[in-house]
Amino acid sequence: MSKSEKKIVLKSLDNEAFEVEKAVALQSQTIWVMCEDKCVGNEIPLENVTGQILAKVIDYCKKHAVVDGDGDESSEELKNWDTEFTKNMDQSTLFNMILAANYLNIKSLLNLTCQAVADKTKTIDEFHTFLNIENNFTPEEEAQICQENLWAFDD
Amino acid sequence: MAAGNSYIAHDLLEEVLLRLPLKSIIRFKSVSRQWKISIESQSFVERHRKNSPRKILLALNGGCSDGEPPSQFPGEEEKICYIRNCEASRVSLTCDGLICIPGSDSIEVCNPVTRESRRFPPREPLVSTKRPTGNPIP
Repeated sequence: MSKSEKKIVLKSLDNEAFEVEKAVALQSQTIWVMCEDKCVGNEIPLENVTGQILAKVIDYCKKHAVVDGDGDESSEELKNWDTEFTKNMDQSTLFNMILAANYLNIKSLLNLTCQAVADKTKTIDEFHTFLNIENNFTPEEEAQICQENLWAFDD
Repeated sequence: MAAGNSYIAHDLLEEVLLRLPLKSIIRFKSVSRQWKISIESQSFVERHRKNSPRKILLALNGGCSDGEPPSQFPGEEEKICYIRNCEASRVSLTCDGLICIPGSDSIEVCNPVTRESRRFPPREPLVSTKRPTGNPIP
């Protein structure tokens, strides 16, 4: 494989281009399939992901590609890196990361980001606010659910 | 909140929900009607069960005055669930995490994980007290 074939260019929704090692990009099943089907050249447009998010996704893939490749880092270190990676992300970024991981089909990243949102979402109010879900229960219905599951509602 | 404008498909939210502790999941039944239906759906229950490899042991009429008894499965996580005020002397059936406990005048089916239980009247005898005619039922 020539040197140029090892690199691939990922282009974000807002036309930001990222040149990455093919091994890094191929952690995305979506990109893997695109390359396998030869339906794209060396430049892959990713129309659902902004440059800001794509940069983070690539950081993640680089880290995980290195570890999978030569195994010089323990899984413990990798886990710590993952924790740090999502620790300071705000909810909006995390949600966009979930969307990107889903679109790009990177299972481990989807797992990581969903877990991070789950860890940060503790109360029902947080759930309503973060996820923009409207509570369509009447107060009576809500009280009944609470009554039926008392153990889950006591703090 | 910033995420307010982002749209996340329902099945992705389910991915988040699956990773919450059970107590939160039960609480989140009161988030909205759609959530309650999702959380109580067979498919969600199945997926959640696959995600939680925890072992549950059941002790009938047990008490925990002396604290938790020592683990029966070294190295594996387990949880002991006590059912009080239960007349049954044995657990008769388990299926998909549900436990059926026959009592003297009723049958209790409970889910030790969600702490839900339903009491059913004992089944009517299959064969009437009149002696059947013809071939006996095997």
